[in-house]
Amino acid sequence: MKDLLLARQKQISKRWLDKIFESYPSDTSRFLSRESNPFANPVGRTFEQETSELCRLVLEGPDPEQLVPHLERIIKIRAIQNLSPSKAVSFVYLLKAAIREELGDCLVDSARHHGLEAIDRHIDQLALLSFDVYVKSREKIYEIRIAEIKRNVSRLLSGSGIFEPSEPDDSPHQCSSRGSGR
Amino acid sequence: MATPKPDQMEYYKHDDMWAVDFLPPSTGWMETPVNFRPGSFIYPGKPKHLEYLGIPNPREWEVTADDWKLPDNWREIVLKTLRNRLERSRTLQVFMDVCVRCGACADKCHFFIGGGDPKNMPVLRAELLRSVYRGEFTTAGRLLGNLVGARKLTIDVIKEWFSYFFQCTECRRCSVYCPYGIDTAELTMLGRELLLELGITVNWIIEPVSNCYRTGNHLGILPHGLKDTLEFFAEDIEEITGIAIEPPINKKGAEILFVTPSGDFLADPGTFTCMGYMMLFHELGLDYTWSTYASEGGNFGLFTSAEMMKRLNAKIYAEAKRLGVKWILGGECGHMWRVLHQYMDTMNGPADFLEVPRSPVTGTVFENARSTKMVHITEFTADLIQHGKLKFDPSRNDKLRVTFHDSCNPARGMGLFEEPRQIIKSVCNNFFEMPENTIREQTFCCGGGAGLGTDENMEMRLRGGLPRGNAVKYVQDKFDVNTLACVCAIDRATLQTVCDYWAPGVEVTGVHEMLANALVMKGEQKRTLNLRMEPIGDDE
Repeated sequence: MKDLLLARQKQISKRWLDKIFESYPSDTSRFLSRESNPFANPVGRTFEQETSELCRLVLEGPDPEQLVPHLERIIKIRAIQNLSPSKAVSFVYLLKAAIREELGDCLVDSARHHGLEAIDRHIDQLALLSFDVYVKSREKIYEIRIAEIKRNVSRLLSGSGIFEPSEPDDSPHQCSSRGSGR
Repeated sequence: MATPKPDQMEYYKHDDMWAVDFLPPSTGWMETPVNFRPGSFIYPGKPKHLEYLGIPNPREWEVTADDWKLPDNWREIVLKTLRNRLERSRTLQVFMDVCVRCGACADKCHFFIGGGDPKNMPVLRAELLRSVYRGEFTTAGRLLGNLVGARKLTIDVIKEWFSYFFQCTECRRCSVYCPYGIDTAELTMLGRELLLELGITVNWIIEPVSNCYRTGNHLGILPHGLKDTLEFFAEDIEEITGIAIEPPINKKGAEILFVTPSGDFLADPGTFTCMGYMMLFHELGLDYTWSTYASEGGNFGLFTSAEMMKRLNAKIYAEAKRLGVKWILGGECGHMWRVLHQYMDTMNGPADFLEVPRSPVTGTVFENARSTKMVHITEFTADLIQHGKLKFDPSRNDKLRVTFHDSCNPARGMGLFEEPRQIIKSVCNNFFEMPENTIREQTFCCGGGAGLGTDENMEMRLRGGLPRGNAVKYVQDKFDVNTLACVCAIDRATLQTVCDYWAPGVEVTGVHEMLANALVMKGEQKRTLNLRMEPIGDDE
């Protein structure tokens, strides 16, 4: 089963990507799939590159550490696209449908169908990881929002004597060191 | 039971979580209502500011509420205003009729590219307005309705306008590609004017406008506050350079009036750019003055209405006249330059009491400013560098690996491309361009322009900032870039946040901050600190 999936990896990843694009409104979907310049269409090209990598890793047998950076690049985008949390991470499940569609007739063979269970478990793991990554992205948004507010009133804060903004090195989570440590 | 809104807990109730579908809405754009999720809209204007400015219908209201507390005759008001604007402006009438929906602009908006919402395609954003124009003002539209892309004005349309006209930063990237030259930013401006007649605007715009009308600047800094601020900067400069600077304020008879956005007085890293101006002017021995009244170059009136823009802009010429200066120099800012370059002369000119700007150091006459009498600081400084009038030690900026973000308005509004680059290349040793289709006239907006740069809409801004962040990330990965230079106060405030999300590790600087760090000043002590009070070089 694994060999079959690996042999069809390219096609599976293409189907997965198409399904993700189709989850956007039709005008957007057309643009995401057609525009090839990575600076004119950063979302489409990032999704293309990262889903291909994720697909490979999932089919090979995933190592969470390797999955996370690729997931991050996709979810960072989905986290700011006005999607509900469930929608934002839903793209992971589309991989199951993509695999089934690609294998089609081959799955009639029950032994092979059985082999899918392992892959499904990998995809479920990916879904759980994607939840972690989503929350991390959202936390980052709140963090940089606060950092910006502090920067915008930096002179008031430092001049008031009431509150001295923390030095950059005080916090490992400091978003921006320069400009906020006065 | 009514469908719960995204800011209510019921929205996320368990059953709904199971009902995830992977498909987009099946309805057409006209029938798909706006989804006001927190993070995707800006808070409404507070009534006290509307009252102060004489704007109709001041009241407390909420974006997520069903009732926006509009006057009973709201429909009549909007249609009357639209008719008035159509009669007043031939351009608008042309913009309404001429678009053939070729789609050249469709994929050029940073909000569409980053967020994927089709109503952020400039062509569709303009259709939000055009469809009503057709439905209410054209015979074909009245008769055939939806068939010819026409619809009637309803409350849902008003809400849709609010959502999307405040998701446009008026950056005009789409206009660059329009074969008919339709300026979609002007349509956004019109849409906002129509909403304003109903008392619909956002607080992040209207509070600065109100402050500016009262005190001369968006932040509401009073004269003594501005004096304190500049003196505080002078103290820092003395600590860093050993040179005492006394900023000239409201100095009658000075040769030059200097006007910059007030964000540079309060918000880092704009403050460091402001210190940069002070050091440059001191080094040149320039006969200039700050004004505590013309204490704002920016003009949020541009994001409110043409009348408001004119009202706020008037102080600049008035103050130049009162102080008796010869010409005006303006700091690094974005939309400020669209107003000064394209509208000021028509609105509040002619400035026939001023002289054509001439650099007292090089003798260069700024012919491009013959009419407005106002010169951009990077034009002024690039001319100094061209004539070898400044001495630099670029190695002081050796820690910086720099790229340059063309701010939308100076780039597309006045063609300012080379001057900032010339300065940057003279004051640092490591400069790298971002990809061609993301700079100069094709530059991507920061996502926070035109009054969107507040924090409650952070998610929206990050969508808009995605294409710019993506290009920054590219040069960060490829050339190890760690600094993004720009010539706009809004950029300095908002791009840092964009970088923190999309390209963490890259920090934002103004061009004159970099210049001042490299500037070798007469009588200065050995520089060990930069303007941010950080050590220069490796001996930390």
